[in-house]
Amino acid sequence: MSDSSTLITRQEGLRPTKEPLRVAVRRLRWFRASFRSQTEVITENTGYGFEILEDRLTAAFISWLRKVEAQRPADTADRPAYFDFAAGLMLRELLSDPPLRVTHRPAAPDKDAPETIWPEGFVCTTFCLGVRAAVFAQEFDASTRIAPEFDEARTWWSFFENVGEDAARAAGFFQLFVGNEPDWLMPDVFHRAMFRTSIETTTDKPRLSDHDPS
Amino acid sequence: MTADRHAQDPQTGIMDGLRTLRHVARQVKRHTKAFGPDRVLPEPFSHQARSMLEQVDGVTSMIGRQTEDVVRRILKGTHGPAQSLDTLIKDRNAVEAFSRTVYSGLRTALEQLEAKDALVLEAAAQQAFLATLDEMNPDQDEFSARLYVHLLSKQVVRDVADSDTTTASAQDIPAIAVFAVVLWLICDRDTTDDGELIQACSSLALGLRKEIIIAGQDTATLFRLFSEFRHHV
Repeated sequence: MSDSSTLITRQEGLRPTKEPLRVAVRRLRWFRASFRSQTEVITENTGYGFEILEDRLTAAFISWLRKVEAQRPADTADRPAYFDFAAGLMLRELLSDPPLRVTHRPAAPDKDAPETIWPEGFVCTTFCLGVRAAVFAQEFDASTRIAPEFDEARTWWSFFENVGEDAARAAGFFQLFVGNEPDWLMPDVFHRAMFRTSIETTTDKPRLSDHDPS
Repeated sequence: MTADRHAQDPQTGIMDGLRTLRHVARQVKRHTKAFGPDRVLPEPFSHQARSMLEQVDGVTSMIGRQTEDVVRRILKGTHGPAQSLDTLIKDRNAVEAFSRTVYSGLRTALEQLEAKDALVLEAAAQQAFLATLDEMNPDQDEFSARLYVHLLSKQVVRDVADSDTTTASAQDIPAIAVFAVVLWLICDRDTTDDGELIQACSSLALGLRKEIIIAGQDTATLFRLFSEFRHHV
């Protein structure tokens, strides 16, 4: 089994950019390059190989972009909760029609590892968690935590089965993985109260997004 | 609008002519390959037909190679990095700069759309540019949408072959490719490789193809689409 927390917090897969990450992630070329690169990191660490389906990846990006732009809050105080929500919504859009398929499996996989239970779901989830961690680090100088449920096989089986029935539940599982209380009824609608963002601010320096509404 | 802007560019006419010749040669070559004399003719007629087709193939290949060489020689040194529409408009030779840029953008977009055999004419791009400038100022909101409409109506992309490999129907390819190029001309630019930028525009256009086709010539809808995505390439 891979060390999931390390994969997420290293953020190796994300393309370097001079722009704020919250801006870069809303550009298709950054989104695509980072997703590709993150997939390669997962392949190196798990032994699973993937083919990326570019049309589906672009469709997910377009759908996600429209939904997050439509629900963007005016109050900057809502930013941490909104970033949590946006990352969960990204996972929902990616998993509604997964933009990758498995081309290679390791010889002796750990049957209880998340990547074995659902390889495509694992790549998409670690990508969204990685983006969230990187944005929180940049915007709030804060580290993020992953809930213990992320490493539980039974949660991953439930995740896989639930998303197969209704892709919107992916956003709820994402909130579970980051330690928030999921809203299972309307997981893809933003309302601040549902988020108790689990970040640990390490300094009191001004937040990047407090000065830039973009 | 100055008189210079309307002046005919002889170099464009020559290159378009050569490209058309190359395009026809490629079409002939493709059709002769698709035609199997053995299936429809008995010997000795099929043998004679094969021999004739081999000669046609040789001639069309030669025409294709020679026109490519001439186009390459004419274009040598005229291709700089692609520029935004705002920059192109300020160019002393704006019309030519625009059509060269549109040509190179369309070639990349068509390749990504698996329709690289389509014909692209710079003269049509120049006419579309001038027609748009005649209607409105470049800083007006719907300039990009009007430019798109004119590029399509002047048929800057022609003769897209029906194929199983194209990513959309041959009928829709010109609209998708032209949308991609206009988006490329107006999108945010940084140090990103220009090839990556036009590829991302092509992907977005392909993802939005239903909306683009439904929009038709509705410039308000097209403008909304361009505005929605120009900062997200």
